[in-house]
Amino acid sequence: MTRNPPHVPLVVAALALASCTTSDLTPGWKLDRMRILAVQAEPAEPSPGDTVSFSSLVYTPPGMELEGVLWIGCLLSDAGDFGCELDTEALDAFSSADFENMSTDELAELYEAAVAAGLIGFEPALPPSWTAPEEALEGLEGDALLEGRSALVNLTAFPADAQDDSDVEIAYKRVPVSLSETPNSNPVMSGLLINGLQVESGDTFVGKIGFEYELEPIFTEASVETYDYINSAGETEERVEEPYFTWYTEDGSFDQEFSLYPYSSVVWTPGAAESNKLMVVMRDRRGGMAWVEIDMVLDCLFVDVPYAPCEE
Amino acid sequence: MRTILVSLALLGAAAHAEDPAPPPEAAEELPPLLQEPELVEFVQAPYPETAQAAGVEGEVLLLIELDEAGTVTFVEVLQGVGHGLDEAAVEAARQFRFTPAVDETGPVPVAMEFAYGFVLDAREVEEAVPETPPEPELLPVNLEGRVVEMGTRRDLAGILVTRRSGESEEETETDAEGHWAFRGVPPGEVELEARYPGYRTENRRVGVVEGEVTEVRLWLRNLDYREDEALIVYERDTADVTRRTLSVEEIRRVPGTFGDPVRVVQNLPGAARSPFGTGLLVIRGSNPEDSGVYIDGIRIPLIYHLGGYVSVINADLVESVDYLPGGFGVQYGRSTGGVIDVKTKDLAVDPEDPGPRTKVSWSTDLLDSGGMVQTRIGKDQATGLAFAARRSYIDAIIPALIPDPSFTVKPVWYDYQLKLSRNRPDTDPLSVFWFGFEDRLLASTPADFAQGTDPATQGDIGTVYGTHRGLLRWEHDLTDDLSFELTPSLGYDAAEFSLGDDLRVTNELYMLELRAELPWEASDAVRITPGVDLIAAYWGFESVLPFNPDSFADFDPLDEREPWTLTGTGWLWSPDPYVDVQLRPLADRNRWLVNPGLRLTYVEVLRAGEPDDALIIRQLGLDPRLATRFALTERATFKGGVGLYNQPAQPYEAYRPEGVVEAQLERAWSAEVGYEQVLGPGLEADASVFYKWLDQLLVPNPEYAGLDSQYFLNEGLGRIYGAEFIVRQARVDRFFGWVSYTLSRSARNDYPDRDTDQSDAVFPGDPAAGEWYPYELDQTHILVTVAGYTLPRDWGVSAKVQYVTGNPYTPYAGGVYDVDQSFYYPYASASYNSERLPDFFAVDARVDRLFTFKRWQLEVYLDLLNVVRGVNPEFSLYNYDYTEETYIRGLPFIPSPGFEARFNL
Repeated sequence: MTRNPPHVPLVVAALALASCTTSDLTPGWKLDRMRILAVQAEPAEPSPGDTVSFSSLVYTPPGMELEGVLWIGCLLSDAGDFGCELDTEALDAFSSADFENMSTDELAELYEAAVAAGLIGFEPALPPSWTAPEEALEGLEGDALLEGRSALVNLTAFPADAQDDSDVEIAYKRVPVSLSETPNSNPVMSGLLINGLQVESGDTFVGKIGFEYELEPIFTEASVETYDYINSAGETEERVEEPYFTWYTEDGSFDQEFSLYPYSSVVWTPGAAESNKLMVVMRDRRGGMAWVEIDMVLDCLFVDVPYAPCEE
Repeated sequence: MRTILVSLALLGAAAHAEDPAPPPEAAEELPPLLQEPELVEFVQAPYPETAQAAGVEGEVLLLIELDEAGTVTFVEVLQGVGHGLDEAAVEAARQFRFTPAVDETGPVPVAMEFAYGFVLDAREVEEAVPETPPEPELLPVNLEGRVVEMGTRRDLAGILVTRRSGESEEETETDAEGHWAFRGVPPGEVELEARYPGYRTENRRVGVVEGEVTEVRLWLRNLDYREDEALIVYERDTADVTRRTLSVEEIRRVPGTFGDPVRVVQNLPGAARSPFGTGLLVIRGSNPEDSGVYIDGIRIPLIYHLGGYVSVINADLVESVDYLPGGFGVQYGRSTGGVIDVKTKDLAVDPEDPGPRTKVSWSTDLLDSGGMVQTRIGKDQATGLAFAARRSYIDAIIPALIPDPSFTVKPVWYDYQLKLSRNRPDTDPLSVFWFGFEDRLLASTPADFAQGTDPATQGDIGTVYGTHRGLLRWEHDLTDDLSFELTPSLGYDAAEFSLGDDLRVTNELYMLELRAELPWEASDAVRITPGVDLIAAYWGFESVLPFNPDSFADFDPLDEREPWTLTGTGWLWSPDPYVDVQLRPLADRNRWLVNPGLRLTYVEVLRAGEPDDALIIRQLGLDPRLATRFALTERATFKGGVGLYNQPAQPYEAYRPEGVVEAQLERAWSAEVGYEQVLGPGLEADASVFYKWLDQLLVPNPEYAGLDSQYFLNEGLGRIYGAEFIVRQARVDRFFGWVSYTLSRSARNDYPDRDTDQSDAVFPGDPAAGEWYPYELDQTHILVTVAGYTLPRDWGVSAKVQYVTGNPYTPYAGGVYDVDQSFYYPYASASYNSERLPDFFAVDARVDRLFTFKRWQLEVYLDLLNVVRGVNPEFSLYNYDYTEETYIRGLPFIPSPGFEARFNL
């Protein structure tokens, strides 16, 4: 007995493709509201006792101000868990406190309670960092020490004018803590090749509305790491990372939302907006991340393809 | 309602009724009449003065309907003469009295065609009658021939053939082979006329030459070829509480079935609407896998090809479809849902109507094309042979409809059937049937196009499913009261699913299925049928996965994965014996039928290994069942049944690489009562209420901790209840149709006794929350109306209106972003399946035309699907972070043309 009818999922999927109308749903690459897009832990795979600093890629649409990001972290006994046992009252009290009207002692008491509950940062005032406990791998032996155990980091981004819970963005990330001999490192991205032209992250690219652009991520050779893996037979295998890229834009569309190394490039068609932002996040599948942001300025000059917004 | 033909001539003041003549074509598939109605009181119609004044003569062809008492209930002019003769004939016929028509169930209503003849003056007739020719026996036959129906090439018996030459006129009738002959016809030009009610009169001029025999074939065109398209919905000599037996001709004209008789089941009570009309068998709120499908009593895994739009057997080979939504007898088992049993045609020759020796048919529609050849072989032509095959080409059409180079879907299917039937009076009936089908679905994307982010989900997707069966059916009478029926079959099933290079699952099954019955007529009140329904199989599978399933017990997306392969072979053994008893305790044996039965469900699965095979699972259960039918009156029948239905674990639920699967049989405790009422000629109603309690349902073990633990547990419960109603007008004249309504509720509780707070896997919207939830395809109201009408010149129109409550679904209110996987994990805003999609509404239509030529017929049709439709959402669809919702809508308007050609050689 199963709940789902057998035999037909592929057929139904094919029929759905043939018949559904999904154009009214916002695609995943569309940047039109506040979103947490990526989180980088440095180092990506700490050992017990290492201090990890975190940075995040949070998109906020023009006109929206990011009030702050609350960071919580803990060690998981089970990596499949969605969270930790937390003292939510202490965290709520800290995140909603009126710091300006509190005494130093009150603030310290509130902060200590929140830290005890798992608080590891509250941007922009308190940059997130977390120290892996020395006893993080307690109970593990042999190869399990090389594989390690995961910590979970939860971050909640608040816009300045948040009205209710639906206005906040919540995300979580695992951080492997291990004694691996080939610990993971974050990939390093420097920019994009846009139709063959190198554009550094943070730069502005001037393009034309109505054109298609092939975007190729630029990353260091060392970003695709070779590492040891001890298989279930106890043998050590040498493996190579298989990173993938997730693409975002404020306006326009991609031919695909993801691209998989070595087929890393995508085709981007800008929309009608004259300023735009492109973002791409690289993930190495072992918890390592990097990203690139490019500001785009799009004009209608020299457009040899008729395009309605430009004609206006 | 059955139709017979009566010819009557009124000659001046004298009139007489001839005995009812047998129909000129093959009989319908109804039980034969044991006693035909006889006209016991004839009423002479007054000859209208206007007709007399105008000198008008002729025959008024009437349709007369009789009820079970032989009383005329309806009279209609089928072919009139005018000048007041029609009205006079109708008025007179309304006063006729007949003896009741009787078949094996007792008096039955019938419809008959009646030719009421008007001739001005008997003396003129006498003058018109040629002088009595010389003793014909003394003269040789020199003008002879056959009367054959156009298109079908069937020999027509009882046809009146008139020969006119000069002033002489002579009549004769065709014999059973359609043969007619005249003796001693003078040389010269002769006019021949063949006529019969319901046929266009045929006139031919031929020349007769001295000393030669002239042979002439006369072709008669049926005025309504679809008159034979009878549909039997209820077969009352079986005890199954609700057995709906469908003959093929009429239901092939139901819109949306693509001419496939098996698909019409989806329009009957108890059958839920499947997504996109894909034909999933959700019968009375049961899972599709809980219903059994059979061909000639042998179970097969699937009844529909990929997508569910056509069945796996050629429609021309289908004799009938038995649809048993519940309350079925012990002959069927291993299912807690319903049963569909497709019966193929008996190819044995009917000596009364041998018909053309060879028939060829070919059909083509939007999805596929196929053909069938049926012939008789042997000196005595007592052996029938049929071969059919079909192949789809939708794989070539889809790329044209969906020009998306990033995703190409290519579904392909084919099927074949070869059947041999022998039925000679001096030997036992014997048939051999070999059939099979295969479905392939290939979905491919370019190598540089990402299918999600997982490397293991890249590459082409392929599924292959194939089934092949060879079966033998042998019947032997041991004594007058004891017979033996044996149906052994050998089969092979294979399935494969692959995704790129990293994922492949294959299954193979070599099967022996055997059904043997020993029906014993202990007395006219007791019939005992012991039998065995055996399945034995050798199975094997290989699963190649990019990850170890154990990793799901402690899932971490950042964990390294390694390829994992699992193979297994073994044996399956399920020898279910049963005994079915039919008791008829009343003196009127047809009035009350009590049908107790007992079946033993036993399944044993062994894992092949060294040094000995090891037992994986053993399941045992008893299926006691009781059904009854009681005729309250000639027109009203009460019916009811209770029973226990056991179902073994599905193959994927019944395997462990080591150890034993501790799973019991899934069970359904079923009860239903119903009432059938004959409302009028061909008009019947059937209502029933049912309740089903499911227990020991296998559900995933929420505490699964790797392959060492049990993956499924018998913890699930289910309850299904509802009511069904159908009122149906069989085609008596030109109209047929039915209204089918089902009211039902189907719910499940996967973990009724589990403390869900202790389970980490439980989250809002999870069925593991320990609460009752609506079944995925639970549809409260299912209303289907089908109507068809045959227009003159063999045009036909039909339509179907369908209204169904929307399916349940779980609403989501947003998602939490898993940064590592770039994936939003949704959180539900309400409990599992607590919301419903908007209701479904659609109107389908069909227009068809039958063209008849001398040796073949061509039916051209246009199925118009979703001529009118509502929003018709099939699934709820969310955006990437579950903050926006839309629907995947059902199929759009689809015009589907097709044709079928039938040749009679």
